[in-house]
Parts: sequence; C-alpha cells; structure tokens
Amino acid sequence: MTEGLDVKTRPDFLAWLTEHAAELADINPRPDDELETRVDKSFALLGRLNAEGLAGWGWAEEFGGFGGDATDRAALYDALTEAGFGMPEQVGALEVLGSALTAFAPELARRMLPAVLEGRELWCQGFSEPEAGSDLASLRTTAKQTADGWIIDGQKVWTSLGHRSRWCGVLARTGDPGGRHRTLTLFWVDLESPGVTVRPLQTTTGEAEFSEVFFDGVVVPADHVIGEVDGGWKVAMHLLQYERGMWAWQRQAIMHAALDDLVATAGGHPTAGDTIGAAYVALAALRVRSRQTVARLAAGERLGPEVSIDKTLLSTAEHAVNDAIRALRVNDFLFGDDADSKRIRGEWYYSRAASVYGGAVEVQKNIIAEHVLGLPREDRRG
Amino acid sequence: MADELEDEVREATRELIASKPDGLVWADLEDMGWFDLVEESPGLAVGALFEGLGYAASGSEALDAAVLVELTAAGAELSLDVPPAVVYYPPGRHAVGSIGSGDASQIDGIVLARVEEPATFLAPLSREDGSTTLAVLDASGVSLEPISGVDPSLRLRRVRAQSARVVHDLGVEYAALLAKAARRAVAHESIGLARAILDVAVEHVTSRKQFGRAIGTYQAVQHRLTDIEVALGGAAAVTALSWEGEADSVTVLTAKSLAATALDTAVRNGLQVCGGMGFTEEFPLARLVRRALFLSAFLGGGPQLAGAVGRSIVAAGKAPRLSGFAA
Repeated sequence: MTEGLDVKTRPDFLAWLTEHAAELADINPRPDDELETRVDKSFALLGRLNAEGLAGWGWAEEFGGFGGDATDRAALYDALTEAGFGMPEQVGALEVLGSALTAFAPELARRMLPAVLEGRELWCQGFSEPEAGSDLASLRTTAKQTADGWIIDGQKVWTSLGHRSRWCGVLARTGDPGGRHRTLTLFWVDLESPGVTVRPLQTTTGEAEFSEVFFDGVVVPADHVIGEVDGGWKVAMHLLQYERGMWAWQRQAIMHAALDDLVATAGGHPTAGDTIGAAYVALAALRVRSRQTVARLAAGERLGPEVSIDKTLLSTAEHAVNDAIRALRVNDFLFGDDADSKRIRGEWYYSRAASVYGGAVEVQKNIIAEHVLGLPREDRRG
Repeated sequence: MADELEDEVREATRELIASKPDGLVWADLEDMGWFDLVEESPGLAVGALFEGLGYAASGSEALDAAVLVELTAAGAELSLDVPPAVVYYPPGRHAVGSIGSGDASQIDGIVLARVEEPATFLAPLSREDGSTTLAVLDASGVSLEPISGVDPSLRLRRVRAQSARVVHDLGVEYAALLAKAARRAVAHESIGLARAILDVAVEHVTSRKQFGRAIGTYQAVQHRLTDIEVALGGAAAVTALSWEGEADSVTVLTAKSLAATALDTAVRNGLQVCGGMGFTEEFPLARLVRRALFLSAFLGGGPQLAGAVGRSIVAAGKAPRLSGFAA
C-alpha cells in the first residue's frame, strides 16, 4: 500500500469543508433546495471537491481516485454533513455501482468513474421492476445476445434520478425465466441510447426523484457486461453489501445533520429531551453498527446475512428521527408552506421509503430469521 | 491473535461461572486472574465477564469489582484488598443519601456484595449544591436487610442508616465514574442475558409444533425473534465502542439505554413465542425473565436514559457523532 515515497496523505475533510463552507455556499446542495437545483449544485460541488483533492479518496488511483478505501469515503460523507453540506446526489449510486464496476468490470470502471468524481455525470440503478420489488429474482427485462452485443427490452421502476443519469446499471434476464437468479446479467447501459424512455414519477415526497425507465430494443455493446453472463446475481449480491453498508452510513450522516437542525429549531419544545433522545439512541445504534460494517468492507471482508441487521436498524432510525421532527415541529409539518416545511414533510415520506427500498424490512427480517438465527424455513420462495 | 485471546477469555469465564452455581465472589475473580486481565485489556475482561454472567443469569458481586477497578485506575484511594461494598441507588435516583459538612445522612440503597458484614460502604451522596459525590462510609450503625423482590436469586440487601461517619469524600468526578463503570458493565450483562433469552426462544420455536409445523416457521414468530437480534446488534456495537478511547457519558448512557431496550424486547417477545411454557417455573425462561426485569431498570431503563441523553443534546445544542473515520 505504502510503496515508494510518493504517499499521499488524506486531507482533514472536516477542517477543509468548515473553512470553505461560506465560499462554497452557492454550490451546496441544501436539503431544502428543489431536486433539480440539488442535482446541479451536486455536480458543481463534487467537481470542486475533486479538484481540491477531497472527493476521490477511497477510490483507487487507476479508477481516477486518490487511493484509500471505504473508510475514506465514509469520512468524507460524514464531514460533509457535519460541515453543513447536503449529500451530493451522485454518491448513492456511485457507492453501489462504482463498487460493482471496480470489482467486476475494471476496464469500464477506468473509463466511467472519473466522470462522476469530476462532477460531470450521474448514474442510476436499474434493478426493481413493476412485478419485481423485494423479489428481485423474478424480474422480466430481457437481454438477447446479437453478433456484437445485446438488445435489451423491458421496464425498470424506482430508478433514483433516472432522468438526470447518463448511465444505468441494468439487471436483465439472459436465459430461462425459470432460472430465477441463475439467469440474470448486469449491463452498463447508456441512457442516451435510442429506445430508452425515462419518465419521472411524482411521489409523496413532493419530488420526482424516481423514474420509470423503458427499454425498447436498446443496443448494448458486448464489453458493457458487468461480471459474467448469467452471473448478475453474484454481482448484485456483492453490490448489495455496499448498498446496505455504505448507504446506511450516508443516511446516518444525513440524519445527524437533520437531528442537529431539530435541536436548533425545536430544542425549546417541552418534550424535546425525551423525543430527541429516543431518536438519537436509534440513530447512534445505526451509526456505530454501520461503522463496524464499513470497516469490515474496507478490510475486504465479505459481508453475510448479518448486514440485514444494519438495514433494519436504518429503517428504525429513519422512522425515529423523522417522527421526532414531525412531533416537535408539528405546526410546520401540518401547515408550513415554506421550503423548510416542505423539506421536513418530504423527508418524513422518504423515511417511510427506507423500510421498503433495497429489500423491504420484512424481507430483511426473513433473512435474519433464516440465516442468522437459523430458524426453520417457511414454505416460501425467495 | 486478539480473537484467540478473546475466545480463550470467554471460554475460561464461562467455565468459571458454570462452576459456581451460587454466584461469583471476589476471591473467584482473583483466582481466575481477572484483576490482572482487567489491567491489560479492560474491555475484554469486563465484557467477557458480564456477558457471561448475564447469559447464565448468575448472581455476583462482580459489579463491585468492575466499579472499584475503574475507580482505583483513575486514582481513587480505595482498598481492593478489603474492598468497600458499593451502595447502588434504586431507579429514579442518583444518590443513596446526602452529605453535609459532617456525617452522611438518610442512607437508603442496595448492595450486591456477598460479604456478610462489610467494614465500609462506598456510596454516591447528594451535596447541598445538588451535585453528587462519592464517599467511603464507616459501616457501624448501618443496617443490612435481605430483599427478595422481583428476583430473589440476586440476594440483594437493602442498606439503611439515619447517619453514617464519612471516612473519605472522594469527590464528584468519582461519583460520575462509578455511574459510568457500573452502567457499562450492566450493559454487557444485559446483552448476555438478552442473548440467553433469545437462545431459549429459538430452541423452543424450533422444536414446538402446532398446526403440523414448527411454530418457528411462522413469519410472525420469526420476526418477533429477529427484533431481538436487531436490537442486540445495535446495543452490542455501542457497548463495544464505549471501550474505545475515553468513554464519554453519552456513549455509555446510549449503550445502557440500547441494552435495556434489547432486554425489554427479549422479555416481551421471548415470553410471547414461548407461550404457556414460558409461564412455568420448570422452563428455563422464568429465571432469565426475573433477572431481566431487574437489570433493565437498574441504573436507568431504556427510555429514561435516552431522555437523559436527549436533554444533554438539547443543552449542548448538538447531537454528538459517536466515533467515525476522522483522520
């Protein structure tokens, strides 16, 4: 790791961000900004942080990063929210798909990662379908092999920021549907290709963050397969470690900032101590558990079914923190028409999504019951 | 290496606890070399001992040992050869009496120590300015009476005195340290006990059949048990963290709060899935539940300690981020 004399030292993220917060205020994707504004600012912020030698830590130099591991990325996410920055919109998909690309398609990763780190592109994840939510292995989007590549047909849904993304990691069926998870392949698809239609979905958060993405005879080159053909489940399981590990860490960082904001805005409420305390201990449980998990990921450990505990703690913390905000700021929540009131309502609805996305909390509990506690298997598919 | 040592310590601790069905006393800890281990690796020594004690729901005066070791390590002038019996406060209080310019007065608390007639007591006491200090009290004139209460196997004793002579006032920082050390040990003990309840429940739902299938195949039953596992996952992580660097009070209060909540979840859901068996004395759950009802509330319950953390956050204006990956 530390061969040669040219060993770079990670900068003190929090000190740098705190010092430059005022100067970067115009490109800070604040939680109360509109979605499109947040995305625009996220491009500018990540690009600037990359130019300053911050964003890029945690990614190997061959992929355009500055070296280091997942703990370096985790440190940046924590420092950003602690210094009053919103989380850049790119990093959710970057964590998940970037980790899949570097592990299973390093050539693609070399070509693709720099554009995200430099703030020029955004990616999205094309996994869920109308008929395949928590039961991902039942998905129907197909990829048919041609002489020089693949043709994809089908539909994805709940694709975060699909309408602003250039590339999408699409999980598609490459064999017999009866093969379930054994006949899936992950593709790297250019959303500017002919045949792609992206339709944003207006959701209860008040934003159109999710999209439906339709693929109608979309041509994908042969070298855009991530991992092996029919090996998509293996890649998905690898990437799920980051989705459950790093995503949880990002969310706890964001929720810490939300809780600090609540202390500032509603600390004088008569029940502030008990309400904030209940939310805090749930959040602390998530943070410290997630810290262990991120450290294990960085050490190259393969995470097993126990990471479903992290995902369940995330659901609990999301509900607890956002219920605390709703309780202590009930008048803003019910009657406010300003940007901040809209924000807390949007975040409350988003917290309800936390117990659904990435495998509903019921599915996480099934995994824990069967694979952690060793309880007898119920007669159910999965 | 570190993992091997940990496995060894846990195994040795389990064996020791199993060999002493009446509970560990001070001399047992000396014999197993616990006082040497705690100097070398306090987190491992306390964690393994109390998780083992919790798992076995074993009565013990080990809590006094864990507390006194931390106090003396911090410089408190206390004898470990003739240790004082620590007087713990009942839930809802932060002291067991008061201290003015002269003697201590209105002493009322509980001891776990097995020594018949301790020579001295170590007691957290309220000062007139509202702060809590820690003082060594002369035992003469102090009454000790057995308590049966919710869990007779604890063999608690109630300590009372109208007044008691103060041998040595150690100061307020030691009172805070006592609370921290005791809560941290009890957090470990609660985690061990919740794990024991979970194991009993898992075993029961795996073997018990109704409607022609093991009741552990029902999702509703499974999810009750996973709720315990998830609560333990968070509680264990924060309790382990409380040994990294200087443990601040927020970390320890959060650890004890989460551990108490995990224990409450284990009692609620464990009793539910064990059905009628859980209400019989012959089933292994009964004694675990009795101990859990005590431990969960002892030194502060889940919501109560969370509230204390919340009030400190409101006062500080910021929610501390426990640990992280800072350079």
